[in-house]
Amino acid sequence: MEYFLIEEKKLSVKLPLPYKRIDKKEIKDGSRVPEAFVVFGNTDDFFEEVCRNIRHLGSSKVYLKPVIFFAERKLSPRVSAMADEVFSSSELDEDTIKFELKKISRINDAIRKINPIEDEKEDDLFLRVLRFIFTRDRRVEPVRDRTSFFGITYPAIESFFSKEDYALFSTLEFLEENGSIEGEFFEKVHLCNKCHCSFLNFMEVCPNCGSASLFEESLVHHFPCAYIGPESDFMKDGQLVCPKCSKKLKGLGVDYDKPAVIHKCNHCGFFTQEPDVKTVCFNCERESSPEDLIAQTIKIYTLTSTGKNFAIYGFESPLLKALSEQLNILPYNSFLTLVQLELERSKRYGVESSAIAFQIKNLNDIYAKLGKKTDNLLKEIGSLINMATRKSDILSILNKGTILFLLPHTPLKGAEVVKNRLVIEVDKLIKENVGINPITESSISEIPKKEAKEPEELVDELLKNLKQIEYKEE
Amino acid sequence: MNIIVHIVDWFLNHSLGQLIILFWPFFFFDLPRFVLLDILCVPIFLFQRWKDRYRVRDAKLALFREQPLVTVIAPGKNEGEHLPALVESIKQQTYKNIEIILVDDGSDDDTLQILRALRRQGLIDNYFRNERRGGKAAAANLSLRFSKGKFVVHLDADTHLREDAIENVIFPFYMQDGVGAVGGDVRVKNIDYNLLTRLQALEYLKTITVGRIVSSVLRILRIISGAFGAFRRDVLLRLKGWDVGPGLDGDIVLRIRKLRFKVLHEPTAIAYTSVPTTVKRLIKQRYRWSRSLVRFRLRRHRDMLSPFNKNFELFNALTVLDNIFFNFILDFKWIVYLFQLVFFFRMSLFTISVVNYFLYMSLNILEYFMARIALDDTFNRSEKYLWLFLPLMPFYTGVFLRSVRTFSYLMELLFKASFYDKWNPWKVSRTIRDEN
Repeated sequence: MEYFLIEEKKLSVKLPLPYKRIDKKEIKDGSRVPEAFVVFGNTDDFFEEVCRNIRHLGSSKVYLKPVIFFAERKLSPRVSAMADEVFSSSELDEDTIKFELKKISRINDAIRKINPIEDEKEDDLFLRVLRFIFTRDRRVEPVRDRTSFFGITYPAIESFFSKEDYALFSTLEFLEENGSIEGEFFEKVHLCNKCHCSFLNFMEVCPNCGSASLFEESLVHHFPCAYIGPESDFMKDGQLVCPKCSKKLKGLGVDYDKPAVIHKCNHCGFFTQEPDVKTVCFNCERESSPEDLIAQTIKIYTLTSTGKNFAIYGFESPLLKALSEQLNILPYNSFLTLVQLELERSKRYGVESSAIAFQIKNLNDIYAKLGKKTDNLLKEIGSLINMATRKSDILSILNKGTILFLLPHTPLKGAEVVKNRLVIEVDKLIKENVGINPITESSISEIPKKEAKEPEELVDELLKNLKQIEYKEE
Repeated sequence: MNIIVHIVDWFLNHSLGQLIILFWPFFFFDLPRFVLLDILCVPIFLFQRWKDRYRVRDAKLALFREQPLVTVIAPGKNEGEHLPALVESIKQQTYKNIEIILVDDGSDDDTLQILRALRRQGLIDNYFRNERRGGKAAAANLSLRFSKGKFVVHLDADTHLREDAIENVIFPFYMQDGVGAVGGDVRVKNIDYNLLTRLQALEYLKTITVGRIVSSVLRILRIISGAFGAFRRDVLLRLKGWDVGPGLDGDIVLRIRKLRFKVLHEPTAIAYTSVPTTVKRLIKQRYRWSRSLVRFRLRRHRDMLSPFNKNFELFNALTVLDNIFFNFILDFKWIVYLFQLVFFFRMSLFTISVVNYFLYMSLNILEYFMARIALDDTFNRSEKYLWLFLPLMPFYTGVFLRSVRTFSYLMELLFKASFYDKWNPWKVSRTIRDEN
């Protein structure tokens, strides 16, 4: 049982734990897995950086490991919440630490429950975050923080994301959508619709010219003569005198009242009672109206029993879920059986059939960008597949983003047309709706008529030959 | 059949002199004021229009060449539901350089939301709201304060304009010098709602369509309906806007006339407005209108009658006099007449009533057809069939409206009832009462 110690400066006291000193650059996946990481320092930035490096590691055996902060001074609530335990360096007595370290053991026990394939690099961000929530067995709570780009953040999971990454919110939304966590309303924050920054300036502006230079004054209504106008109309030698009947106003409520206020634009002279509201982002200077801002609902999240299950055994493929609504997707084993039959038929009767593999490699980026709207996109992709294929074609999903097609009675040339049409349409759809460059790869294979081949071999061949199609320059 | 024989007999047994004495209200007052003047003035108006046809064309050309900004204002409380249709009818005008300013006078319904939506859609130029109701005059003055047009058109929120209404209400300013205000013709929008609205439609044709043509020809026009009228903004600013009502529409016209500006009626500028659909609401409306005659003509503007007033002007004096004499003093003649009949001609009461009915019905027939002759091309289908209801008009105007009017005059004379009117906010009524 060994701890990895990462220091900002040399630890001056004896750490009552078995530890190995490592440099922050040495934080990486490896065969030696510590019981926990111990970080000693005195600046928020250092703690944050180390924590982020740990959470970005690939293996779930490492990135989920507990992180303990030993701080020389009081850390900000946000940075404190990133660690599993925070000690001040004055608390370094053995008994206290041993008592608090029980929590570290609990986290490590939870990590052991997770069933990842040994040494497999876990690149599903949603699953990483969910597993982290599961192993900590606590609520994911937002913290208001003026140094945060969003004004509010989830420090416990923030380290999984790069700074200023809106995916922090869309990931939680996705997890809530698929039933892994459930949220309880905390508040709403308004974010810039371009850069997602919450540091916004709200200004009242003239509805006529957009200028923020407005002068506000009361309207005065003189009852006896029904004159009504801005208070400045009535001001004469410091007294209120009616400009219509020249009478001195007696008293508010007696012979006059102030039924409303009015704003005069100093730029164009326009009068209005209801100035427009404009926001300017302090980060990207984007000007927008409040209704165009992103009203981000912030929730306090707790893990559900479904979430626990997903955390331990992995997600049901969202692609499979979305496509199953429109297409008849066969389980992989059944697909292999049908490929076997087709191989036999081709060999015996000389039928020309083909198979296609199609993969969206950056499906995670799409999730991060679209959050719960990803489902709609996947359904659209389902429609495209529906249009590109025939009823007699057989489909299966291999893993997260790989779709396999068996096209009976379709020669290689025909299959090529189907494949290209599909790839071009899907690429276009993603580009237009997500605004990122899709990474889609595809391959095609003929069902051999002469040589004997196992279905698994055919699928391996398809996966090995996956590549992006080349678009001709326009 | 017997009745007819009886009436004919009755007629033959009376000399012409006796008949005139028996029907003196009709022969001495209503016949000359309404029938003869209509017969005289409507042809004069038509002849002038024919004679001035090129001047009308030139005035319209001058208007479209100059393209002055026309501010349309429509102050009101809880009128939100009417505003989209009103704005739509303004947008469809043949004259386009229009600024629309709407005022919400302390509404407690969704008027403000409707105004916001109209502003957001760019359908109106601006709107203002009094959080606390200030009354019709204050709301109109608020619009005036922030208007920018050369002319200000005042509309009621439930008004619907014919597509050439703004053009036609503005061109008279370009036809004659010294025109301060032009009133448009106001017709009934909800004619077909029930019998009451049909009778009001006939009444409007009689008193506004024909009545104001006659007043305008005689240069004694004393009112421009709040539902549709155009004013020179500089004139309104000199007057510092409208004064507290009820009766502010008539009041502003007399104040404009006092400044020696002409006030005209333009029958081709047509607006349609909703009229009360129940007897109770109609009584309430007329009760309010009639009290203003006493308040403004008898009290406030009686100085216009004095030849010793330095601002005395004959036609201004005649305007007030006509109003006081024919609408106020003669309103009480029917009480005298009723006494006369009951005490001296009790035996012939029925016959005299029947004859009176026919006399006044023929007066209504004449006025309706005068309106048809003058403006037949502007009549819609419903208006063209209104003649079917003419037999009911003597009861409607002669009995019903006359009773409401008389009661209203008496209440105002005896108790200054208008100063307690809920039409104005309490705070305004109280101040006005204290000042009077």
